[in-house]
Amino acid sequence: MAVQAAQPGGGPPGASQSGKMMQRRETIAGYLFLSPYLITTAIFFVGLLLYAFFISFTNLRATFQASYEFVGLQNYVEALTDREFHKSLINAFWYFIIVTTLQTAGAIALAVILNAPIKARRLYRTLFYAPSVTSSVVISMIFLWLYLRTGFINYAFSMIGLPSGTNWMASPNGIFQNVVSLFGIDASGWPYFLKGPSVTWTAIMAMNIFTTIPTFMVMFLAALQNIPDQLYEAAGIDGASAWQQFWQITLPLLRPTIVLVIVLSTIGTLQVFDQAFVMTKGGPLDTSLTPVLLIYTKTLGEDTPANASLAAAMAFILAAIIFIITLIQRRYLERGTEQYF
Amino acid sequence: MSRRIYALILLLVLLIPILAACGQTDQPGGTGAEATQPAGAETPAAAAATPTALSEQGETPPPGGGASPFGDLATAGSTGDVTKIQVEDGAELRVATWGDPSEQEVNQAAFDRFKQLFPNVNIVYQPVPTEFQTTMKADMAGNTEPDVFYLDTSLMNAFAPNGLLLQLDDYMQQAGVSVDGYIGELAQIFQLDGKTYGLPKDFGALALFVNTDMAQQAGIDPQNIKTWDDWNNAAQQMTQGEGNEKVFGQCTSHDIQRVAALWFARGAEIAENNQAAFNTEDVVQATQFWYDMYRNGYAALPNEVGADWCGQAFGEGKVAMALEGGWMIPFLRREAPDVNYVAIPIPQPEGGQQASLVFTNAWAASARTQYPNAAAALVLFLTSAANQKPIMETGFALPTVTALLDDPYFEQHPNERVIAEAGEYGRVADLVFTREHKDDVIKSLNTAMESIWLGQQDIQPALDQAAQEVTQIVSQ
Repeated sequence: MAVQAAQPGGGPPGASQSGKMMQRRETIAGYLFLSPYLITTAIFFVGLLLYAFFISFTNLRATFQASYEFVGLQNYVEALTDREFHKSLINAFWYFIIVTTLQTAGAIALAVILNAPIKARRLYRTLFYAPSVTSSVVISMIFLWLYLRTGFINYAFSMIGLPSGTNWMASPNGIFQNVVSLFGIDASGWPYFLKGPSVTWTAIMAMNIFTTIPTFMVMFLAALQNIPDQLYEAAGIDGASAWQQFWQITLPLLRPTIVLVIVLSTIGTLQVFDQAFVMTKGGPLDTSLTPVLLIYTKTLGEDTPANASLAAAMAFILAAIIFIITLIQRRYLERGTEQYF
Repeated sequence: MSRRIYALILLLVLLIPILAACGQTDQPGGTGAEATQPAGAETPAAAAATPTALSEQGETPPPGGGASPFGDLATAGSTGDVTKIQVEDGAELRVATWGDPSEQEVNQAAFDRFKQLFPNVNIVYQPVPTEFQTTMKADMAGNTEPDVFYLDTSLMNAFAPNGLLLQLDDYMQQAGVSVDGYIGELAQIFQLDGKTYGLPKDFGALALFVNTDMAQQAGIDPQNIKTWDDWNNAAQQMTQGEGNEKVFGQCTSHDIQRVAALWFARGAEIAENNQAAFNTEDVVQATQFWYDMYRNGYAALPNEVGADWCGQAFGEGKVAMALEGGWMIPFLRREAPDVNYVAIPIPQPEGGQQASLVFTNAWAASARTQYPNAAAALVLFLTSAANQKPIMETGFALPTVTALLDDPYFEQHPNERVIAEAGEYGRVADLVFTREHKDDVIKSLNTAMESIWLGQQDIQPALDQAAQEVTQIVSQ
C-alpha cells in the first residue's frame, strides 16, 4: 500500500532548527500530495471494509432496510453451515489447485521457449500476450460460443475422433466421477468434494489457464533476463545438458518469481467471479458457483432475496481463508528467497 | 511559502474529479453491456420482458370519445378516473423499466397518452434492459431510485416491508379504482398488510403452442389434444427426422415454473400450512410423465437444439410443441412470422383438472418521490383499462382489468383468448410458490428438477430433498 510509503522522515539527530522546519514542511507537503488518495482510500476502501465488518454482525439484509439488530455471530454460523457456501468453497478449491499449478508451469515453459533465440520471438510474445490484455468478459463470451454443443470445440473433437456430444456449459458430473465410471464404478453417491470439479467447471478452468498463462509469462520473461549468461556458459563447459541447465540453474533462480506468481494466482483464483458470472451464473447445479459470485448474488443478485449481512460474513470468512493459505505458502515456498511482500 | 500554495492548488486539481464523480448520480440507464441472459428465457416472471414487437397500429386512439375532451382516455373501463388526482404542477417523474427497444416503444406510447391527460407532468424515461433487480436494489440503497418503475414480487418482497414503496390506496380511492377491477388474484400479490403498493400491468399464462404445419403432416388435429395420452402421442408422432434435421415433438423444460403447471393439473399444492405439500404420488407421476417424454426422445431441452429457450426452438422449427406463455405471441410474430401455430389449453390428465400458471408484474412508485400525486396518477393510469386496451391491441400483452376480458378483440384473436382464459383458471405463480419466500422456494425446486433432467437424481429422492428444504424455507 502506498500508505506505508508516506512514512514521515524523522530528521537526523543534531540537525539545525531550520532544517527541522524544512523537514516538517516537506512532511506536510507530502501528506497534502497524498491526501486525495488517502481520502478516497479511507472512504471507499477502509470505510466500506469497516462497514461490511459491522453489518456482518447485524441482520441488515439490504442497506435500504428500515431497521436492524445485532445478532452476534449468527451470520458466521449460518455462512459456515450454508450448503451453497460449502459448494462454492469446494469449487474455488479445485479452481485454485488446478489453475495455479497448470498456469504457473505453463507460464514458465512458455517464457523459457520465448526466451530462446528463435525467429520472430517478439511477434510471438505479442501474440501470446493478446489474451491477457483482452477483457475477461469478452474472452468468456467467445468461449461460450466455442463451448456450444454445436460449437467449435465439439467440432474439433469430432475431427479427431473424440466424443463430441458434450454440452459443456451444462455438465454437472464431476471429472473424477467420470473417470472412475470408465472402470465401472458408480460414483454418483460420493460426497461432492470427491467427485471432483464438474465438466463445466473444468472447461472454465481450461479457458482461464489459457488466458492467464501469458500474464505470468511476462513476469517470468523479465526474471529470465536477470539470470546471468555466465552461469549457463560455465554449466555448458562442465557438460550440463539443456535439460540439466533448466532444472539446476533456471528453475532455482526463478524461485522468487515463482513464489510471487503462485501467491498472486492463489489470491486471484480464490476470488474468481467474472467467468462464472458471464458463462454459467454458477450452474449447472451450482457446480461453477464461486464464493465471490455467491456473495454478489446474496447482496444484489437477480431473483434472490437480498441478505447483505450474511454475504458480508461470507466475505470475511473467504478473506480469512485466503489469508491463511497465503501465509502457509509463504512459509513453505519463500524459504531462502528474498522478501517480496 | 509558494511551494505550499502550489501543493494546495495541485491538491484541489486532484480532488475536483473525485468530487465530481461523487455528485454524478444520474447515470443513464441501460448501458447494459452485460447482455448475457438468454432472451427472457428462464424467468417467466419477466413475462413481458421477453422480446416483443409493437405491431403496425401502435397507437390506435381509444374508441369512443364522449363529452370529456379526452374521450374515454380518462375513464374507460371500470378502473376509475385518474384525472381526479391533483398532480403537482411541473412535476418531473423518472421512470425505469426492463425490456428491449420494442417494449420501450410500447411504454413511451403509454407515457404520451398520459401526457395528453396531464400536460404539466414531465416524464423522463430511463430503461434498464438487463439486471433490472440489481439496478433497482442498488438505486434504493443509494437513494437514487426512479419515481415510477416496474415491480416484480422479488422487488416487492425487498422493498414493501421497508416502507420504500408508495402506498396507492388513498389515490385509488380518489380516482375510484379498486383492486376488484383486476383479474383474479393479480392485484393482491402487490398488497401487504392490506395496503396496495403496486398494480398489475399485464399478465401471461401458460398454454401449449402447437405448430399446425407439423401437426398436419403427422395427421394430428391440435384441437383434439385434450388428454396427457393425446399429448404424448402427438409428441411421439411429430418427432421426425435425423441428425441436424431432427424435429422433436415437444420442447421440454425443467424450470419449475413450467413443470408445476402439470403438477397443478393433478391437483397438487406447493406448500400448505407452512409445509411442503408437493411430495405426493400425484406429483411424482406428473413429473414422471413430463420426464418420460424427454427420456423417450420425443422432447428436447432448448439448448440441445441450439436455442436459448423453448420459444426460440419453436420459432426455428426445431420442436413441434412448446409449453410457454402469452409472451410467445408477440415474440413469434416478430422472430418467426412464417410459423403457423395455435395455442391450446394445457392437456389434462385422466381425473385431473384444467391448470395453468399465471405470471404478472406491476407498476409501482417510490415512497420517497418528490411528486407522490403525479407518480400515483401515472401508476393508476398505466394500469387502467384506458391504457391497457391500446397495449392489448398492439398484441404486446394481455390486460389485467376484468373490464377488458369481454373485449371484441378476443373474438378475432383465438390464441390470445386461450391465454386470457388460462388467466382465469390458472394459478398465480407468485402466490403458489409462497409469495414472501418465492425466490428460495423456486430455487430449491429448480435444483431438484434440474438434477432429475441432468440425470443426477431420481424423481422421488429429488422431491424428498426439495420438500425438506421447502418446509425449512416456508416455516421460517
